[in-house]
Amino acid sequence: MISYVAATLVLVAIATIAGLALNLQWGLGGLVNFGLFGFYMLGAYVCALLDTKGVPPLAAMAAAIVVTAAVSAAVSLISVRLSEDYLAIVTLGFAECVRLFISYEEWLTRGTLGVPGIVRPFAGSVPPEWSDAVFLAFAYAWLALVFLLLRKITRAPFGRLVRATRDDATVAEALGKNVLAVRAKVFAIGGALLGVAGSLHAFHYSYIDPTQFSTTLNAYAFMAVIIGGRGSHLGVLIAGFTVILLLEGSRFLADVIPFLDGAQLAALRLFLVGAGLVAILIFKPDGLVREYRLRSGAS
Amino acid sequence: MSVGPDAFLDARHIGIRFGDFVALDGVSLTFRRGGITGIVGPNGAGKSTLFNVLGGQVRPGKGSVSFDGRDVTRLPAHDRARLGLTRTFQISRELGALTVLENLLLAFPRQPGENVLPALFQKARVRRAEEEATEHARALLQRVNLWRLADAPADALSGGQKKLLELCRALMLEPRLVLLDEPAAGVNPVLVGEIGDFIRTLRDEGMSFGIVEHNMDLIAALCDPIHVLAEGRVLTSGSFAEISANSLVTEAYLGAVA
Repeated sequence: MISYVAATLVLVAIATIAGLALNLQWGLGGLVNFGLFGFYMLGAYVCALLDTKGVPPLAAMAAAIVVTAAVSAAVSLISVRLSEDYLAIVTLGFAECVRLFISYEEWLTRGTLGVPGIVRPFAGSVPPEWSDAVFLAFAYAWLALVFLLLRKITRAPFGRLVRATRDDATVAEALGKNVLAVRAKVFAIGGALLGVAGSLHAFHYSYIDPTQFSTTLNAYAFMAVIIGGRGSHLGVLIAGFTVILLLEGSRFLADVIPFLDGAQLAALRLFLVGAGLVAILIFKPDGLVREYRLRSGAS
Repeated sequence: MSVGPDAFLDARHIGIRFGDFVALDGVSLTFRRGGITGIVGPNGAGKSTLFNVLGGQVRPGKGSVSFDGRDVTRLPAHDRARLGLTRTFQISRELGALTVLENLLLAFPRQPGENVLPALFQKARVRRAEEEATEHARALLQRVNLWRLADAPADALSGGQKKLLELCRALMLEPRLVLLDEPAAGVNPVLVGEIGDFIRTLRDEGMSFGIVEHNMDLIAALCDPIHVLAEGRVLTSGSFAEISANSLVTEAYLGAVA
């Protein structure tokens, strides 16, 4: 039971980091990323493959972050000249490419056999019975770091610039801002965070294969951003801990509610989440928390 | 028209078409350094398209644009802005989710905190730039009576207030030449007079302007020379007295009387 709770909490942290990444890209930057799970998968695989080849886990994770950031920037640069709808399609296409590449290029990724034996950070210096607890702390340290980092850059002039490029790119251009460069940066930072989430995923399961990566992650991330409030990192954090915890955590309701079988319960969970999402959109369309705005106290 | 050293912004033979529609057909005109140049003409004459070409929003099919002696025809809008050439838009384009003050702070050209690393690690430097920008913004907003709304989201402003916000935002960039696309549209008449005085003061301080406007009182009070555009061509140019005496201009506005 305890290990189940710990595992659920790790998944919540991972999905929330993905939600925060999306909040930067889409919530603040207006860049729709339907290919979230592709960048996430890329991060997981880069980390896992290096890790299992003997690279220290933290170094493998760092490499995964760098690779996903660079690939994100490249994907954004080939498509941000297109209007936003096209970016959504390009990112989705990119994610499918990543998934197919990893599924079939067995010489590199072992394909559907998956990558076993991924070593967690600090594995050598932690007794096995503490492994889960230490990893839980590691995941939450990352979540805290990501949250604080995003909050800081969002409240800085950089955040204002990103919101401006979202609201009206033509105006930002006329004011001397290189919108293309801003968007590439936003995508790269978001990509780096997805690299963090993907690496945590690989460490958490210690075995990865292509079936673990699907648009479910997209759904979690978009729900967290919509319910939390586009542009608000705090809102995404709260939504992550309510929505994703409910989704992941309600699995064990089967123990408590004996008259529903597992399949019924699974359907009911999804039904309730869908209903909740619709209710939020009707009654609180801007989400739980508003995005940060400067308060100068002038008036 | 002479291309002397006082031609700050110079458009040569600009041609642009959208499908079969010729929006601009060989337009050549100049904006004087240290002056307020007016562009007038009936609806559909190509005034806003011309501003799009000059501002870098649209690339012309033919012709060239030079600013301060430098060919900027292929220069993106943000690089033109950094050279000191910016513009406002006919339909107000406020950044609605930003506050009024944030709209202005955004335009401040020397904020290192717009880059990620300084934003994270050079707090003092960013704060100093922010304070300088806020001082500057406050002076501008007080001038147009918007300071009391500094913390309001820009999309909550009225149409006229949005026009004023755009003007202030463009000035925040400390430009050398500002192209104003109908700065008085929707602004209450008392404030229009104040905007006119404001623009004249800035001109006296050395800033140059190009203005597209339908408000002829404002054009008459501020602009010299004035270029008249009709059907994508320059009909005539001259002082307000000269163009208002020109029968071609009356015809262009009222429709040719056969």
